[in-house]
Amino acid sequence: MIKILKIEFNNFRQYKHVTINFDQNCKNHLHILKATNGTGKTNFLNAVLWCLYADEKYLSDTSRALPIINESVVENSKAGDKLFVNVRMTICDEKNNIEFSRTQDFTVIEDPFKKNKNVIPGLCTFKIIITNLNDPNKNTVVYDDESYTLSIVKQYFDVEIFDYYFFNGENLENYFSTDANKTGKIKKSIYNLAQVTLLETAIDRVSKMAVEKSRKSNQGSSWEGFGYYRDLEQCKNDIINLTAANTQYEEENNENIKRLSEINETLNNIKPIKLQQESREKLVKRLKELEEQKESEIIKRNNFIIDYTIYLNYYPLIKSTLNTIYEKEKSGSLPPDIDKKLLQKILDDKITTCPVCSNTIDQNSVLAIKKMISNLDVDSKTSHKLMEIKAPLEDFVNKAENYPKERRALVASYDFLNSQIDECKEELDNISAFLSKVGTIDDINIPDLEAERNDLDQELTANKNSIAHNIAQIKIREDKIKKLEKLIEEYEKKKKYKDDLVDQVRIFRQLASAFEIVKTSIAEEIKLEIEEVAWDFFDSMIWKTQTFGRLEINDDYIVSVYNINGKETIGSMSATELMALAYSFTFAIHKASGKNCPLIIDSPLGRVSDDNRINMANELLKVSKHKQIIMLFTPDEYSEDVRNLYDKEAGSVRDIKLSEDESEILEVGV
Amino acid sequence: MPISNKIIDRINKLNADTELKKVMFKILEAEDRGIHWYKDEYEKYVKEYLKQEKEREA
Repeated sequence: MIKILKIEFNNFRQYKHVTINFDQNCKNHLHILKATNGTGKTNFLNAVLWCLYADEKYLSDTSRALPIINESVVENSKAGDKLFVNVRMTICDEKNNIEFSRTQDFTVIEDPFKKNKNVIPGLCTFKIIITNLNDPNKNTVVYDDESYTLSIVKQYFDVEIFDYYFFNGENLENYFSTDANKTGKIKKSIYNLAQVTLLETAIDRVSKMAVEKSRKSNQGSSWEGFGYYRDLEQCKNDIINLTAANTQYEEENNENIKRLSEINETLNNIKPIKLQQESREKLVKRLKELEEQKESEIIKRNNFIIDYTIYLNYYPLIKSTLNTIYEKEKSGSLPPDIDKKLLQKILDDKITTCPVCSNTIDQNSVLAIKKMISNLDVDSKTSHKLMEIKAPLEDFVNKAENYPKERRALVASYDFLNSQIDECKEELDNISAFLSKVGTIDDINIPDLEAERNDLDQELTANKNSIAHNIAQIKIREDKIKKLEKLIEEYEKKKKYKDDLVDQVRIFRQLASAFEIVKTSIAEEIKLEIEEVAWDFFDSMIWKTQTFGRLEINDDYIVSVYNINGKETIGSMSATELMALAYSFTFAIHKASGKNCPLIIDSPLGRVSDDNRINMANELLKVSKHKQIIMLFTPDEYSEDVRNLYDKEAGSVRDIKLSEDESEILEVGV
Repeated sequence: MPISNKIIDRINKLNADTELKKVMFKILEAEDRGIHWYKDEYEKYVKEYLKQEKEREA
């Protein structure tokens, strides 16, 4: 149970310095405060509301125009004085003492003409001090940050349903509003207190996460990887086949070389043939060298073509630039080391000694300088630049002009090599022709051997070419494999990322669904609980046992009461019945919220008819055994039958007494 | 404010594995703390859950 322990007022309207303690050692938790109209009954409620929400919710229009500070305090102060209003309410739950304290500063000002005093509001501060009762040192924590204080107030006295904690018996219609804004607030507040809102937020957020992850997981094709794997497999198979083919070629070549060696050995052992054999070997060696030289010449020729493509392209432009430099040089329009400005200065200042060579400048020198100046058409800087590039341009032009000569030399060298290769081949052919015609010597068929050797040679060359070709193909595939492996690595990363996302979507959906089940069941249970509790209270408070059949709360938290014939009856209920229903709904909301908060009621029986007053007073007394109720009565409302009951049974009964000038509450006492 | 016994009870009675229920409690506790940048936090919980799920399957 949550109970108000103490309320302290300082300078709040009539409550100048008043402290009300609510005795905790009573047989019940019912506390009565009595006050005649205008003595601060409603301001008591407003002081608590102001303390919690900085808003006097039940303020009349006349009071709203006045400052909250006690008038006599202002009157007894001087201009410039600093005053304050403070209301402190201390409550306790099972674990903590919680003090809510709001202070509003004021500065006194005085009208110099009218001589009356007024106040300017200053800083308004709100703090909550929580003392853990289970802590042996009773350490306190002070909260003054708005984000925390609002949240703490919401946990105990949610402003959205403030009139269900601070009940105003004169405004019953407030409790049966079908205004969606009002009923929505009740639902929202109960959902907040019962943490259904927490579940709703969780559902909303996990659902959003599921959608977001699902969208991400659907981005990009998931088929691209299949192509990479297929190509990789193909490349690997190709390499295996090409390698196997090369192995076969190499084996064949080894056999061929072995056989060639045998043939050569056989032929070398035949004396008349030996000479030819030796010549042949030399020629083969020479032919190999020539072929290598030819390869190198081909490379040289390619480089020559690349180089001269550049030289010949730029030749006309560079030649023209160089010619321009030559012309300017010849016409003397390029200044030497002497700057044109310096020469002009010699003439302008009529200098008689040359600053360069220190010779005397006579009339002839002046004429020479004038001529020189008229010839110079670029400045020294440009001239120096042109002279700087002249030598490289000359080199370039010389090289370009050397093209025909170099080309001729290259062609000649290439032709010479080709002729030597042809000669070698011819000589080899001659030897081969000779050996093919020799016939049988020492039982060896030389033409057959020669023919076989030629075949073997051809096969060797063909195999070598095939091996080289296959090696090139293997290299191409190896490069492709490297690229494919990179692509596959990236694809696998993407795939893993996508798979992870799909897994996350699955879990987020499971979570949303699980939270939804919990939320629906709790929301339904709360609604049923409110219906049940409200009906129990209502049924016990009302004397017409055969009139009402059931109570229902719809999804928007609008209350309906049906008579025993199933007809909705709220519209035809008496004020007493409406009051009973309002209390029942209030108690049910308190119970469903899970927090047994105190209830302050202004005019608790004001609208209740005399016949039913004692019955309802008894029911409220019963409730106060398990819930703190503070009632604010006028003497008329506190009728004899109620007084007889509450004076005897209530935890405390006090009068609020006002001073004669009505400027302050003198005491709140028995 | 701690998570209410009603919610704890309902979650415990759900037909779901214990680890998923733990994730639910973590999310509710984070929401109760007033978490603003929730996405990274939620993702962390779910990834941890998936990691444990894979370990269990292995």
